Amino acid sequence: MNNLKEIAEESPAELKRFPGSGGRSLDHTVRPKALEDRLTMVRECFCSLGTDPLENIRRFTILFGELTGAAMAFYDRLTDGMLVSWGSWNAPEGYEPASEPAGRICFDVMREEEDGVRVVANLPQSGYARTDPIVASENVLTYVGRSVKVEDSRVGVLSAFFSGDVVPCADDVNFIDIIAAGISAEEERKQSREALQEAEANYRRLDEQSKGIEELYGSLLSSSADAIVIYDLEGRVQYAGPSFTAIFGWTFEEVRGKRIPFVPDSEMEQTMAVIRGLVEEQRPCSNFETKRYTKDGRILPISLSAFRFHDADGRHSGSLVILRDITKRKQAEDALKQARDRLEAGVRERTAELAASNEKLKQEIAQRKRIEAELADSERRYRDLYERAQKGKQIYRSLIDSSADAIILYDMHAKVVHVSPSFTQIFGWTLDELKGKQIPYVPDSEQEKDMLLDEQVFGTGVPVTGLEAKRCTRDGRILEVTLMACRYDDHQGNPSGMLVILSDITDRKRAERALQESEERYRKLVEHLPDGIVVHADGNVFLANPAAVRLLGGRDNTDLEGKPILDFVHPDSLDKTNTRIDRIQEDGSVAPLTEQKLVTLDGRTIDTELTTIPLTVRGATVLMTVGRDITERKFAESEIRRLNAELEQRVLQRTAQLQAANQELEAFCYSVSHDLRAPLRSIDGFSQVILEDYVESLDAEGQGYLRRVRAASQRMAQLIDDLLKLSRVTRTDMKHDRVDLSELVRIAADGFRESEVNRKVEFAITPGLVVTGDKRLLRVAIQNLVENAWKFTRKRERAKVEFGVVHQPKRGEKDGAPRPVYYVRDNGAGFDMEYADKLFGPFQRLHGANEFSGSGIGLATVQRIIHRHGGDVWGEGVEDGGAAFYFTLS
Amino acid sequence: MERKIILLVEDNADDELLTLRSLSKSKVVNEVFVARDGVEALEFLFGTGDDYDGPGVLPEVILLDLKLPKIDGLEVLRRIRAHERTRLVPVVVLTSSDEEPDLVESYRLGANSYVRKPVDFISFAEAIRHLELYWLVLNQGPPLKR
Repeated sequence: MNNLKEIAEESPAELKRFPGSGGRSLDHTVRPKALEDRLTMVRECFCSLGTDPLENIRRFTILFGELTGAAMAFYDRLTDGMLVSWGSWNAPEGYEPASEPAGRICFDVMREEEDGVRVVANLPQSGYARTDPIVASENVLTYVGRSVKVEDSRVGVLSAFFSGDVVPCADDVNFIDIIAAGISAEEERKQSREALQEAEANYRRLDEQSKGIEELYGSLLSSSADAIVIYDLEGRVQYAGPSFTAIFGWTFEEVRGKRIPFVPDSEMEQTMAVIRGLVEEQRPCSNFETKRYTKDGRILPISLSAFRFHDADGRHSGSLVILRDITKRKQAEDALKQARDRLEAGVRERTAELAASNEKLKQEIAQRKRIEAELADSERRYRDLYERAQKGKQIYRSLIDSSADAIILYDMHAKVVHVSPSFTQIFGWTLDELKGKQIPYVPDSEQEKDMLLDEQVFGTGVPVTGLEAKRCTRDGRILEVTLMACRYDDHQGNPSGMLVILSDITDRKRAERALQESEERYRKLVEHLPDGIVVHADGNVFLANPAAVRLLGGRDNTDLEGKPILDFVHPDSLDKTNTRIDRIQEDGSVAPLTEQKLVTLDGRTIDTELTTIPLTVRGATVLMTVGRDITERKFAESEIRRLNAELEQRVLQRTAQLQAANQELEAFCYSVSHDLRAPLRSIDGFSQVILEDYVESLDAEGQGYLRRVRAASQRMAQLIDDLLKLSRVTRTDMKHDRVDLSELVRIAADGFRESEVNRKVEFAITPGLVVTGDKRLLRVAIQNLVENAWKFTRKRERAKVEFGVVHQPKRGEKDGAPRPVYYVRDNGAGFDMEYADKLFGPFQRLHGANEFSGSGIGLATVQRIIHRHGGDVWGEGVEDGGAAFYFTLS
Repeated sequence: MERKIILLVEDNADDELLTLRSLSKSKVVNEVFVARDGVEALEFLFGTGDDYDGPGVLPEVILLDLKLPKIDGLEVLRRIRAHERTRLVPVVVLTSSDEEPDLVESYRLGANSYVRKPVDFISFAEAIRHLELYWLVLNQGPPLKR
């Protein structure tokens, strides 16, 4: 295989000058160009350069062809391991500049050890005639080219083919070097741009995949060819990437946590200025060119970019420094400078133009630096974007859409940007109704508070949380809410709006109030309850109400609280108390009310009535004992018992006395019944015997006397019988039944009518007057009253007897409750009210016996019967104007 | 003609005389035995010793006063009813009392009749005559062992 050098050495004599360089040229068809023309072309070319590197490269290729007067010129670029043509001038028909692979000759130039212009003469005789299509198909004789480098890698080859035999002169070489340097700059720009695009693609991809920012950093830091160092606030190394080690020699482990001693004294002042600018003024530094020591003491030219970075809370937490080894670039620049110097030496009068071209080149480099700065800026931007996206995602996902709380986003003018679905649910307004407006939901009473809130959040950025407020719904209800508000910032950290979260706590507040009220009620109840309440757990009192304090002789509740409950139990009641407490704790039942003796703090023994109720307080069982002092009640009870016993004793005595009296009365009545009647019978009997057996011995007068004796004795027998009847009314036992008085009156009336059929007496009986009483006795009473009326109306042509009832208060009690007063009224003889008090005395008569028969025992009997029924009886009468007898029953 | 006896138990001599006067006038009775207290009445009926075989004939009716010396009328009645021989003999209580306890107790112990002695002698004599007629003539007495 032939290489360029060998070919060149094989035929040095055949190297020819370029057609326009003043040297001999076999191609006479091309007019040689003057140096001035060629400089103009170079200047025009540089001036026409745009921002597209490829287009610029094509222009450089054309410039190369035109300057050298070549038959055709190419710039082949290493793309995916192949040299592909990117620029061409005067290419053959059908030549595809972007896809045509270069021939072998270009590969050989690429592989040259030394940079510089290569010339291959007599191409048709060389091996390239077989391998390179251009050499094979076109009529070309000479090749002139050189490789193009970016830093120290060869990226492409600039080639020109000549139809004649040419040898480049020194100016030619200078021109070729300048063009190569120009293409190199364009290549570098292209690489930068691609790197930027790639980085942006990386960010986008990472952002999309929601990978951690650390991962992004990690990949950036470790994959960068530049040395990346992260410092903390003290300038100690937090991180140094692999490229740092490659460039400077220190491993990350060696410099971790330290300051790197690699700043040369000459650079110290400027470096410190950069750091101050960065730290104090937050001024990022971009492509600051300086120098640094390597570990092994070499000094490297460095392009330094640095910026601060912030932690999640936005605090300055360190600096990121990118150190680019620009040795190679410096060398290229130096080479360029040298070439220029050489050119300038040759073209003194056109130095200015060349300098201008150079200036243009510098501008290009500056542009590249700007691109690098853009790269750094875009890193920050994308990091911010990423963090905001993360934050935004979370806010939207977890708060706005799924939150039960109402969420509102405002812009800086407090106009609605967004409301959550739950806001609509709670307050009624939809987003469409509110967007760009203020929400009319702050009640008048809260307007001032709301303004202060806005001022705080918008003005100072201090968030508000847990604020309780009132808000109106669309349909006018007032809701109680807790409010959270915070300002949110855009990606540049400028305030851009306010986020408000509202939790509807109306129900909770209502429940709280109800609970408070209920608690208040219970608290008051407990405080004012006259019964003592003591709550105790594990045998110790922990709560006592004022009544309990009074009951147990304390001054206030602290006297009781904390004391063992059994301290207050009287020794007599200890067993009972322990049993009760055990049982309650076993089955949770309420202990029934029991009486128990307690001992007060001041040592008194009191009788109490207690019940104990188990309660659950915060999951634990406590016992509530409610008790009251029944000492007085107990005393009263025992007094009552004592008095009762006394009374009973007295009753027994009285009963015994009464029984004795009754027995005496019985005996008396018995003997009256037997013993008083017997002599009467003898008097009457023997009087009759005399009348029967000795009637002839007596004259009529004597017989009359005997008859008087008999009448008197019979009269006395009648008196005795009446007296016995009266006493029997008193002696018989009472039975209480329903008694129809009207019916009794009717029966009595019927009886009298039958006994004296001739008499005309009108009875007016109010029917259905039913009372409770002893039927037998009441019958006697009614019988007597009716008999009385019957008897005393004997002289009336039109006798009338009434039975009825009136309702009137007790006599002497005008305002008393009306009670039924029964009466039997007649239109008979009546009586003088002067003697009304004598009506009811036994054997009292207001009329002569010859006028009206009777023993005078009837009304006495009535009175006794009515009195035995707890009632009253009285009479009203007018002499010869009728009488009325009234009675009541209890 | 079969011998018919009335046992009159009466402590009051006046009453005894008036009763006997009323009875004698009716000419029905063959014999009236008078016992002047409860003991005499019981002795008449049961004798004083175990060997006593009684009056030989039991009275057609016993007219029994209640208020008697020694053993009172109700006790006499109780013993009459308690004894096999005399338990079916008709007993008419003839007394001054119309006290309810006397009435109730008499009938409870097995009295066949209860008559209160009227004070009016004409009524009294009438009553005795009615009793004599009823118990000795109209009434078919129980078959009694003699």
